[in-house]
Amino acid sequence: MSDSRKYQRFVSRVGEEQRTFDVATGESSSFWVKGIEKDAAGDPIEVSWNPIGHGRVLLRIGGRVRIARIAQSTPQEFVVEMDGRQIPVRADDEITARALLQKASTGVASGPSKILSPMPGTVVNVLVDEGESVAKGQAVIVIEAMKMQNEITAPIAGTVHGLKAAAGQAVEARALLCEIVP
Amino acid sequence: MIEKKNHRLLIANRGEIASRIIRGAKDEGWHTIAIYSDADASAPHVLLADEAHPVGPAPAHQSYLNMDRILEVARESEATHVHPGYGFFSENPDFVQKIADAGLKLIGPSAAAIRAMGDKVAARNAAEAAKVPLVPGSPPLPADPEVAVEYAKKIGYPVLIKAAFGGGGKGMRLCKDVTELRSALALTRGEAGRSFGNDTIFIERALLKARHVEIQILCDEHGNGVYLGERECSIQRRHQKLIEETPCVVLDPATRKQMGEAAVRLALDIGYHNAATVEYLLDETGQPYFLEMNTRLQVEHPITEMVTGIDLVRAQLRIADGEPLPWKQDDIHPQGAAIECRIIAEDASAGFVPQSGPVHYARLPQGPGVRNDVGFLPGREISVHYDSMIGKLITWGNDREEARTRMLRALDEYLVEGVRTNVDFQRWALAHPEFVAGNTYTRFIDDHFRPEMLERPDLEADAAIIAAVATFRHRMGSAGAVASGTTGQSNDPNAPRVSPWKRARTWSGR
Repeated sequence: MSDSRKYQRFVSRVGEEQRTFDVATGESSSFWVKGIEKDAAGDPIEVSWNPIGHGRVLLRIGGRVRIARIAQSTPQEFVVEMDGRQIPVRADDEITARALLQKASTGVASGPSKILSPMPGTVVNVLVDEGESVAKGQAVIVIEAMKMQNEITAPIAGTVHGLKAAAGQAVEARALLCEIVP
Repeated sequence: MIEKKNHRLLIANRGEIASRIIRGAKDEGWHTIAIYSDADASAPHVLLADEAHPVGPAPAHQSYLNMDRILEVARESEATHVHPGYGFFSENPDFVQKIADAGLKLIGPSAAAIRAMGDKVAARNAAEAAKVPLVPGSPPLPADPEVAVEYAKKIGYPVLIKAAFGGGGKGMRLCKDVTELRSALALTRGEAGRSFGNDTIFIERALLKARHVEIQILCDEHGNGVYLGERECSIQRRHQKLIEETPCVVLDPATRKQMGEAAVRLALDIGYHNAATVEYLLDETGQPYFLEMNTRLQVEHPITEMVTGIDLVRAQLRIADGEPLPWKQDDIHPQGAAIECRIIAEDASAGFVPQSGPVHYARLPQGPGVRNDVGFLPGREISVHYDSMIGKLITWGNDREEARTRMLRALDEYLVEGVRTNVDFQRWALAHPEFVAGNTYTRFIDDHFRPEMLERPDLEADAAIIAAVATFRHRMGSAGAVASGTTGQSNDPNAPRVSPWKRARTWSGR
């Protein structure tokens, strides 16, 4: 069956995974989406798009019903929340996506690894000193949150740099505690 | 119902348990008085109570643990009774003593009974005297780690280090060998000192394949006691319960009777009155060992209520009012099965890390056999200052399988937007073949759960499609935010008219 719709190509990226779609306008509030990967290639599916208030959209994706809260941070970047999960995703047109990919592959392969507080809490113990070398998986800092002590471990082997955490200090989620330089 | 408005109950707690207690008290015709921190000024329990009073800034030690201020509120609001709930002051004998000194009645046991059971070493001694079976353990340990190492050698690994004044799964560490024991001693002692104000620790033999089975008891002030069956709470992470059920699938009537009678005997021995729970571990052969006695209402009390039809909060109020228990042991006949899933703001796929932030929207399960005890509201923040348990979902069935499938259905309905919860984890656990088969034990999660089991490639695939369409819409000039557009109400002249007043009262209020 020939498809006379006018499609535009987009590349979506969720985590490390990349997917390419052709998108065209459909009836009233719906769209046609065609996956163009080898195994996902096939007939276009209809995606209906019905905002239901409070930043939420009722979607039917090829018949599947999804309710998504969609927060847009830039024209290409979104956090899609479905079924209690927040999924960061970006979608670019093909040319931009290719340029981004090129830039990423020429970047530095292994840089310092930041240790961020995984939760808001209080630093109860700093187990390392500035400049100390640590093994991968070694406990670095202990943070107490909601009455539980959590050991934060080094994600890679290396040297401790820029140690910002001190015992007794309150930290926000994702606060930089220190860096491990390989 | 006879109104007892001269019974004025101050609820010294927050969250779901404060709401639960308020409801029970109102069913008894009592007047209810809530307290709240600055962070909780519009919290659900404040909205439910007859009156509410501020007790301080958000951090718990300045508000819900501010003893003097709470006593001041009790005096000013002319409270006659105080219910401590669980956590906070519920097992603090000093608070209980001050309540008594202020001429108020506590909904709970005496300070002496709390003291006797709050010290786990003394509790072991009392249990021994009441002929409750005990797991091998050590006396309180001195600072020298070698003493612990010597005891551990006698007891046999693995061992648990326990804070003598710990509770709720906090202040405990499992050590598989002498290396782990040495490194964990100081950490546990430090945690105990900070969390419980007393750094006494001891060790006990750890039973790895054990089930956690506890007995709910009620004792009046006239020397009568009954047990209301058991709850199995084996599904735990970091010694904190996540799923509770009743009955326990492996408990035979004779063992149930033995455990129940021992629990009541222990309580009456120490002059206990009000609700309590005696916790046991059941080893692989079905032999029970005493763990501890909790001198308060437990988080998981609703499953007992579901199968016995007894409202435990109302029973507590009547006991505190001096009434004798209306039941004899022969009157207690639990019906069917009940399961509770604790709903916790945490990311189970990232090491059960607590989550906080604003809840944008929530859809709570409903329908036959479903009970929801919740402590959050859409539009409000889940605060980093308090427990990350935000609710409890309870289902009842004629048998375990009916309660379980109903729980799965209810979990599918449970939606919280804005803050990640463990609903996905609970769904995984309830559907696990070993859970279905009733093969539950306290290390169930350690042995069976891997974070990648919660991955949702289906959602990621749909998110990719949604983003492509959203970017396309943006390009095509669908003005404004991605989720804007007609809602089917505002622009359609044929749509039924809805009063703006009604529309303003949507769930989220936003």
